[in-house]
Amino acid sequence: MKDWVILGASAVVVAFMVAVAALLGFRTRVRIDQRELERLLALSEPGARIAESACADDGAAALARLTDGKFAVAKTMGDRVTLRLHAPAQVALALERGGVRATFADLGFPVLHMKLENPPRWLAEVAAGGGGNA
Amino acid sequence: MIAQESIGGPPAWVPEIITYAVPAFVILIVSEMLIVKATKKGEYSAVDSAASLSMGLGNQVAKVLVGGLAVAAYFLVYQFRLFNLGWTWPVLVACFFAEDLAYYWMHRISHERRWFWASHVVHHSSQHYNLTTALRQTWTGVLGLSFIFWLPLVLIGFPPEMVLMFSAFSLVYQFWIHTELIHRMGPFEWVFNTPSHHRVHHATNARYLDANYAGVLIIWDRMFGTFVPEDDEEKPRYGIISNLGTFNPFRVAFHEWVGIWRDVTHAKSLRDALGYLFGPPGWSPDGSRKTSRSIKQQWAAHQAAATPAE
Repeated sequence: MKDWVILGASAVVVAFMVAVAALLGFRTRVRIDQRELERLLALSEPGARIAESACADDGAAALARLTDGKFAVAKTMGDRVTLRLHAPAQVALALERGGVRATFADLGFPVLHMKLENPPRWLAEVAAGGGGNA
Repeated sequence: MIAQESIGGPPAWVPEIITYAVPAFVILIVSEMLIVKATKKGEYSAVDSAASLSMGLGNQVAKVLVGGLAVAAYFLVYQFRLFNLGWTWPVLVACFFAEDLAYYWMHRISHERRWFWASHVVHHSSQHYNLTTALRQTWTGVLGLSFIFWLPLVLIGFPPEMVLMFSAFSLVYQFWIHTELIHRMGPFEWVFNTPSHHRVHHATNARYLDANYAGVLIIWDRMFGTFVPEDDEEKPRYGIISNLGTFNPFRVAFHEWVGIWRDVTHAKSLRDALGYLFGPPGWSPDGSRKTSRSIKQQWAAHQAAATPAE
């Protein structure tokens, strides 16, 4: 019983610390544009080349097809960006209203709803074709 | 034979070390937030800290639910101890070093073998490095059998309470090194784990990958060839090779275990299945994925290609 009381108190303390962080303004969101996508790709995969790319209208995500056929997916995570490379078989792309849905075969990377009012042709073609079988 | 003065047994406060340290943790975290806000040295993200602290809370829940299994294992093995080591000062000193050595090897193998990495990856999954990162702890450490690395100590004869005490000290010691606010600490860095050494450990830069596994003492890394100093010309990039795209604590806690399950159930042979379970993180039969070794090799080749011939 004592353990659960301590855990309850711990939860309150956690909420307090998160509230302090939020009140201090640690709530920056970054935006992803083409330049940021290229910079991140150069850091994570030196030598990789982008064949086609698309950045979300709200700057929250970006998708690129590399010259070797892999997909690079960038997603904002607060004030950071996560960039992941996926083999075509690991990502499924589908068009949806207002954008593109990307589904990944990785519990650590949930479904991405990318806001794109006008998806580029290459992305629309890949999405129409299923874009993989994740 | 030198008479060894006994200190009489385990101190009454042994099991509560981490609980007693929590108020200090809170004060230090809030202090760090205020300093980072004022000086812009170091970085915080409320949502990332929320994820980290949630993982810490879940870790404590897991300890309440299943932590007894590890303790029971210690006492079970202790029954077969080789020596009767009592609570004397020489034994305490020896246990401190033995526990820290056991921690080094547990930590190193947790980076080099996927089964253990599946628990430890949680701690590295933040792209930030601050005191809340220190509390970003696994939920599956006990069920993932990480405690087995300390069983040799109780088999030798160190009392389980003593081993648990030094494990708790080690965890409390490692809290404060999770900060960017402290640069270097002079000769202290020769012997002890420090913020600089541990920043390297959390970095995904190829130069820094899989280094500095120390708990309290950095001497084991120096001894076993896994020490890499921090280079002021190359700022650490924190996180994991395949950074997460979520702050959801449940996804953070279990993503690598789910990945192992998928790989093992789709493996084409027993050898491949065992490779997915116990090989290095990122291992695959066809070499299509990245391991730390392949990343370092690729980086070294890139460095060599970029260096003009003399």
